[in-house]
Amino acid sequence: MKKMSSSERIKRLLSVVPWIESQNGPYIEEVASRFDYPKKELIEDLENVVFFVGVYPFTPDCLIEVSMNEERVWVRYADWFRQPMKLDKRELTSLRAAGESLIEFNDSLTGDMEELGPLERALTKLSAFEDGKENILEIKLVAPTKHLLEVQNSIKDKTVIQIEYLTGSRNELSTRKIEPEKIFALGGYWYVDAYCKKSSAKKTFRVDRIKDFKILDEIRETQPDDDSHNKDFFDLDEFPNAVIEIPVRDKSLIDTFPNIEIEEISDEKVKLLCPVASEVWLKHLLMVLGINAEIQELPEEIDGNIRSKMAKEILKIYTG
Amino acid sequence: MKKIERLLNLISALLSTERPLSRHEIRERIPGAYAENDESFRRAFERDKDELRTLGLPISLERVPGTDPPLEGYLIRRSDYEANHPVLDAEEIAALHLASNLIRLQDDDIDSPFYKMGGVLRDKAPAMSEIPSGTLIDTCMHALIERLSILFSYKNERREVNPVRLVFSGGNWYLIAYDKDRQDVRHFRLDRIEGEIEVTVEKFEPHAEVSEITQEPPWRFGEEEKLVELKIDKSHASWALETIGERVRYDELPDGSIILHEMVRDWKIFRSFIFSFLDAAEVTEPSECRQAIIDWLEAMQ
Repeated sequence: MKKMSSSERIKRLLSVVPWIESQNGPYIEEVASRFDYPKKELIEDLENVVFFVGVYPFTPDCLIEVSMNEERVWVRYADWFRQPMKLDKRELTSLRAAGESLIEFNDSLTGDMEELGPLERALTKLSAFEDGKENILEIKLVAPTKHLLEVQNSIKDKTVIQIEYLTGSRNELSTRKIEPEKIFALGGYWYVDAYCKKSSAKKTFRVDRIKDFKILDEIRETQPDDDSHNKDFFDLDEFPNAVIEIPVRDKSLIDTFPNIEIEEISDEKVKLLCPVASEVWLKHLLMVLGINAEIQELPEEIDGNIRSKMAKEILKIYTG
Repeated sequence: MKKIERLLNLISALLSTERPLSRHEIRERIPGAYAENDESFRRAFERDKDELRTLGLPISLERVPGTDPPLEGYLIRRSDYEANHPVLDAEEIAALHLASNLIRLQDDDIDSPFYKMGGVLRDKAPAMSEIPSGTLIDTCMHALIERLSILFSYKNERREVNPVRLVFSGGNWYLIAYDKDRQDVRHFRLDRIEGEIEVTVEKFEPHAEVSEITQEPPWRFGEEEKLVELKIDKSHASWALETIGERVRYDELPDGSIILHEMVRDWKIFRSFIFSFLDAAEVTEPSECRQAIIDWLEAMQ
């Protein structure tokens, strides 16, 4: 854990001191863990800082009394620190928004509210609190797609599943056995990180593109990686890049294409580094960007006339 | 005296006093904390005060009673400082902790409220959805919490609005706000706001009625309305319907293809959707949209 700044320590101590005082000599270990306070620093700050905090005239009865043994800690006479600080409106707002979003999501996913008892109770209490009354922030998670619940259950039950997966925007179905590890929402879609037996690698799948779903009677080859959430969502390095320059004013056109890296090159132009996962994806992108996009580089296996060819093909349906 | 010790003593002095303390009284009440030299003391004190305010400490500036000429003093009122939130039990805090871990605003300090509630003995769960955040969100939140009118430019026009609610939906942030010139509630997509948001000092009263933002495709938000008909081949029909969601109007043709009737308020986004089908979709109505697609493609062929 990295060293805490002095303001972070102050903020944390303003919560730690009243909590210890309210308990009957809690274990130092527990205090450290509750407040994410590295044990060594906690002991040092209690002994060498809090111990010297007090009010005028700083006679012994005006100082906070800290006593410790090997395992436990006591704080006394910290009357002015008897309560932690108020939750501010921003904190209340974020807490409520996260909680309500999860309830709404879970309800639409399973129709089952039973598990959420404590969360609902917490939110009811918070919303009855004067500063938390207004609903000024709302987070709507992406609506659950068809197989999301099954994927979630597979993570929970550690099953291996077989899916029919639609690649690209074409109806190109492939059958894969996967071991789902984690679901997450990004840019309007649900994704699942899973170990794919077909390619013997970890892949990210879009849940709405899973067309068919079957639980297999097999044992998993992999165990979910604890650090998985720290890794990038996609392994984009495996895809070759297309390099395209577009006018700055057209930047909003790539809103629906996450994963494209944007580089400012002048006041008028930006450079796009586009990992090309499939030809269909690239064709879609080129059609959206239109004639003002300058194609600088294409992956080797892609036809240099891909844009005009595709435009011609679509025009055929309009002109017959 | 160490800085952290000095600041904690300063907080103690401000919290334990019944009446506002002048700067000089504060120096006397925390011996050894500040310099004798008045000018360096003033600078150090100002810095400390700013730091505490940044930490969220509600330091009030009030007139010291009985001073003539009047002297300003400082104190922290307990009613401003002390937690008065409802007591949550361990199970409730744990549930709230899980929720705020699963669904978190990027850059938000999600731990701070839990420390104030006595901490949590629980591992952190990896985020299920990390909601993008940034300066615009912060500014809007500030204006919402303080109920201040804001100014920004949107579609080349200057807007003055009273923010009502921030909504994250379908991967985008929207601001629902009362537009003062249009005298009506409008939805703004935050990424379409041009430049910065200016927060005014004008306070407003909350508005009662707000229309809901539902999970709808992004091209349904905007100002210029067009009813567009899009014919989609059978091979892509089910995929298209699933993408759009429940509230969709369409006719099915005998060959299994469908004609979508979509209210389009943002043509650029809808055009991107049309091209996701490549040659499996065709705009049939209105003729101006059909022509726009043809012109767009002809330029590229």
